[in-house]
Amino acid sequence: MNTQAGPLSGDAQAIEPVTLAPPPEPYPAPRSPDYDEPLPPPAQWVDRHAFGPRVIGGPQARALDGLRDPRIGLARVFTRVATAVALLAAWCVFFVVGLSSMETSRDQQMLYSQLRSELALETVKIGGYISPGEPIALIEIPAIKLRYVVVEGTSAGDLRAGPGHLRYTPLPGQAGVSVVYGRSLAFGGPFQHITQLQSGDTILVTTQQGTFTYLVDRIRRQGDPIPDQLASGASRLRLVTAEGTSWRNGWAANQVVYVDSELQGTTQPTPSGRVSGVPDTEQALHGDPGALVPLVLWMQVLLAVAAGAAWTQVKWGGAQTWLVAVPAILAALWGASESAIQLLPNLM
Amino acid sequence: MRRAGRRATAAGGALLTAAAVALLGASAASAATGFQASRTVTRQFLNPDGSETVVDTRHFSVNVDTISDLRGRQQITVAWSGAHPTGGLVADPNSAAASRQEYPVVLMECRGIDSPAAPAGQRVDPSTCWTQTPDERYQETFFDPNDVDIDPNVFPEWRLDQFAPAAQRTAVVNPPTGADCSDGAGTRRYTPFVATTGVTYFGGANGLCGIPPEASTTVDPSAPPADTTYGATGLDGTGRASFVVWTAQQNASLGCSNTVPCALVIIPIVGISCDASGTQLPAGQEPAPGDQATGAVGKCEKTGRYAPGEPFSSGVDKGFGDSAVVGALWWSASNWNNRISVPLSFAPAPNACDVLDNRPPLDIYGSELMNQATIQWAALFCHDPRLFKFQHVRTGEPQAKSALAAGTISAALVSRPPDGGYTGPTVNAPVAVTGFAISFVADDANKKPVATLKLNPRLLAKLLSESYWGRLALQQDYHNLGNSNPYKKLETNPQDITRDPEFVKLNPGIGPTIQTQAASTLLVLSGNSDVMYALTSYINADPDARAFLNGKPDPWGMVVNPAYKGISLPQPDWPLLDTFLSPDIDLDGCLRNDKQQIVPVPILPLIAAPMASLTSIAQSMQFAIANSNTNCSPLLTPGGLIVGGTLKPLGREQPGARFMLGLTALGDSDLYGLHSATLQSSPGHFVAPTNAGMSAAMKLTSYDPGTRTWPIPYSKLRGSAGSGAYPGTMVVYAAVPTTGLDATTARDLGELLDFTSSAGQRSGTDQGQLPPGFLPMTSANGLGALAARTEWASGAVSRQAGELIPTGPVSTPNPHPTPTATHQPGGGQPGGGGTGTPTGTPSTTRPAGAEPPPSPYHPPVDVPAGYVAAIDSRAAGWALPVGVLITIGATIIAIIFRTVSSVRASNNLRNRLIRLSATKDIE
Repeated sequence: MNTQAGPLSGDAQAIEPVTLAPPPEPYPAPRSPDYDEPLPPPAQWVDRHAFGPRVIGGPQARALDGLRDPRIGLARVFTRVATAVALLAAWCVFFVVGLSSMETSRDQQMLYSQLRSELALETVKIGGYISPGEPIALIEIPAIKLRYVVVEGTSAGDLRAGPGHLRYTPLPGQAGVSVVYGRSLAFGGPFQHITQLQSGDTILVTTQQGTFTYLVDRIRRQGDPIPDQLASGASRLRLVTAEGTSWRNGWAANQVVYVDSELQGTTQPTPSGRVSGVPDTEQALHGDPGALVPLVLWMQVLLAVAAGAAWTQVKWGGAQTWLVAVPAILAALWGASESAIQLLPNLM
Repeated sequence: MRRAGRRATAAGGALLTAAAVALLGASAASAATGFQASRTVTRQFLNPDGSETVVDTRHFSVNVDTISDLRGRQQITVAWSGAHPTGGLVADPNSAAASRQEYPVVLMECRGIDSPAAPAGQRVDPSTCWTQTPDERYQETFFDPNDVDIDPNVFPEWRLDQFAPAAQRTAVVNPPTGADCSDGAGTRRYTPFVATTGVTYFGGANGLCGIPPEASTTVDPSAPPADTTYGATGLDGTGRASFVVWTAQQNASLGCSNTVPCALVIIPIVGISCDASGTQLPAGQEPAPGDQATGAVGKCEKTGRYAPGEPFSSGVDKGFGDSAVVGALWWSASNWNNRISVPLSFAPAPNACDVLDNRPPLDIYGSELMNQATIQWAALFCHDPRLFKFQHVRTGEPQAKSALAAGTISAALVSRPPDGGYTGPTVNAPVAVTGFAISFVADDANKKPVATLKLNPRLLAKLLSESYWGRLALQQDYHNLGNSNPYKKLETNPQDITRDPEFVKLNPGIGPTIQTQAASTLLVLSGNSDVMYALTSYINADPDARAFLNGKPDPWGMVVNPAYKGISLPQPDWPLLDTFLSPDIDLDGCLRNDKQQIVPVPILPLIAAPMASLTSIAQSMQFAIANSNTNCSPLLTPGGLIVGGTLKPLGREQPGARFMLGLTALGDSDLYGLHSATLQSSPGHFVAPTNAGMSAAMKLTSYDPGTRTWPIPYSKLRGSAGSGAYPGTMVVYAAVPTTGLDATTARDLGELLDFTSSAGQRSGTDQGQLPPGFLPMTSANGLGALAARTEWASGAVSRQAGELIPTGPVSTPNPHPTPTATHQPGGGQPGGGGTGTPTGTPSTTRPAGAEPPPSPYHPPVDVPAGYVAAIDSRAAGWALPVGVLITIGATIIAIIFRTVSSVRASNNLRNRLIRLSATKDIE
């Protein structure tokens, strides 16, 4: 017995062995023993569909089957529900681990060309209020082959595009401690390898004020001593991401880890006007409950598309419905997953 | 013959020697620090026949108490005898009006060397002598040009001065070229002033032709007066005056410093020596015979309209004195030739270190009591390239302690440790024994300055607690209050301290003062300070003062201001607590708003008006510049209505009627020549702030291991043992941490402490010495233990091993090689300026066996400031695992159900097949 999973995955169509329709009343009993009357023509009661497989068991057949055995019907319903849930969960996992990086790659491509032209025109902001989402720097770590455009903002939504700069800290290259958050798994996991950095590795950051070389000092986890007070006029870059221990390692990061690095060279002047605080949604390992709104909207789209697919299946038939419904359902599902992920902690 | 010759030779030799000694004695000889000179001054008239008539001969001699190592605003005393008594006396000898006294003794600071051998640009000359107003160096007379042959005003007195060259006897002398800045006077005699920059200021009438920036044409009551002094001579020919020396920091146009020589010029005025008939003038320029000649001669030969000792009056026949004999004509040749020039030598300017030494200084914050000592010590340190440059940043001690706790500075000068202790191992090394003084300026009922004043703690409590009401309007307001109001009782308090019977009992003869506001308060510090803590400790230790502050009336019925009742002492910061609002005092309109309504503020805090630093208090006390902010500069509408204004300090009190009390550091009191009150130690005993008094106080102290200091036991001072002890004594410690300093700073601070424990405690005014007002911290004064502690501390600081106190036997202080003291150029150096023999690098070598044993205190582990906090998220930790689990689980469930349903379906099929075949069989 094989099952076919259609897009709506609610209907398991079973190809059942042929069940003969009950034969009509048998030919009336023969008359007297006068064997000189001819026999009537045979088998007009035979169903044309009696032999050979029937692809889709008609509702009549199934209903009769179900009337015959209600437990099969219930089992079928459970099967379909469980299959749907499994498919949804698998989609989410697959999205988080693999599909979202496609979105990040595309974002990074656009941000890189935007950053390049803005650097050339000298319009990249170096201070004051920078709206979240704007590219502000390019970070490269040759030791782990990392190269990303850093955007401003560290909420779960901002970190979809790549590493994000914590808004109330100075920009890299300016005096003080500059903090950059990055995801460790979803959306390409830009910072998944920074825990492999060694003391002395180079981090190159390019902003409008120039290219700055930072040397990695050390990696800090919970319980490690915090760094010494920064000397006046010095600059530090802190990369923040999440990591998991033991069985969680690599896929279920739940603790914040910091990588501190010191600037080699002179700091650049710091313009004023920076925001002095950020909301909780931009702090480490916080989700963004505001993403519920787009999530709800995407779910509505999804339902609409699913209903539409079910309706077209009845009207058009099988193949045409698949052709039209699959991309639409995929798109709506993508939008919903992407919004749903923002409810989860931002450093995931 | 031979024996007679030998005797004659011997006698002649003896005579010559005696004459030489006598001559030497008569000439200017540099005493240890002072100066003495005398000369004969005469006034003579030239008769038409060429003979001289000597009118007056005086044998004038003068004594100046200090002429070397002078600093800006230092006050020196000049005393003289044998001068002509002064008439037309005014109260303030520094004012321009004092120049119109008859026969004063003029004291001026002039730039240059008074010797014909000096280069032309560096000679003392009237053009390098400082006077504050143009009127003191300019004379003019008006006359109708048509009367040039009749009017005696054409020939004022200076034109008839027989000793003046002809060029200085023309109608207009030294006029400025260029634009006409005269006011049309007929005769004009300019004495231009040449500044160090080379700019010439001609002055003229009302200063129209330019005056130096430091000069003025009007009097500013809140500024210190000029240093030009017109001293008054008494009837017996003697007189004394205080002269405040200025350096380039106070007066850049005069520009005196340790590299620009200056002199104090003393001119005893005996009057113009007249050449009445003008015999020395070129022909045609003498007074025309007749009215002009007689008038001119009559004026020139005047001998004064005031009787000796008579005060100035503006009556009909009086007014300003006769020009021939007033101080304003000091520049005229007769007077100028009678001058005595006293060469002055200055200490290096306080900012000399910044100019000479561009190494970054080591900043030491704290106690203002150390101002004068660190100026002298730092001068030595920055001139020696083997030492380091340090800078004393003067702040309140609590502020210095906070900075030390925060780690922003490496050393603080304090007088007591912080209340909560230091944040790390820190030594308290005594560096100086000094103290505070209650300075006073007072004139008695006869307008003479008061020399001594006695104060006890209860009087100080009354002054500080705003219990005198000062202004009559306030007493009226208290009178109008209801009986239940606690302020009502202040109505019967005395107006100010001079009207307080307790004060009058201690100091009879002073009489009530007109400075009621300044006399109702004590000028103290406005910020946190260990000096205020010491003063309030002294007050608190006295049972009478404490009872007064708790509300008990004094034996004459005076009660404390209710706002201060029960105030807890000691405090590092004296609060201004009075909140009484007067409904009708408007302070001459300053408290009115634009609707002419009074917006009341408490008046007594305005009268108290504390200042921010002890140095500002001392500088205000020098000239009795009262600080009560009750002087209104009103703001006027165009219609003339007063709608508020700015409140300013009262300003300078007039000499003759001064009264002011202020809290000053002893070092500053000595420098600025302030009088210090004697404070009560034990009841009935009053001690002056001398070295003896401080030494007696230090004998009563004992080491306190808890605070590691030598606290002053104020309660013991009240006993019989403390009757000679000065209660204002304070010890200043250098609080230096013994961990956490970098090697250079630790070494430098160790050197400084070593210096202060030994070489820095020699008294003197030269670089590196201890100025007056400080008790040398030596075993001779019973302070060997303090010096030994500092000695040990210098080693502990250099070692940076976390030590707190010495353990084991402490080595006795060994004589260290002292840093070389360089002498500044110019002037006769006093013999006491020699320091010990310079022997190489100072204080880096110790004699063998003097090393203190290692400290048992282990330096603390370098502890970080904190640890990374845990930030983790359950959602992040479980999101993906849950997703995977759901996927797997749901898949398994689906498979299970699928299997179940298909098994059941196949069972059903089998059953049907069986039935079907059974039916067929029947067929």
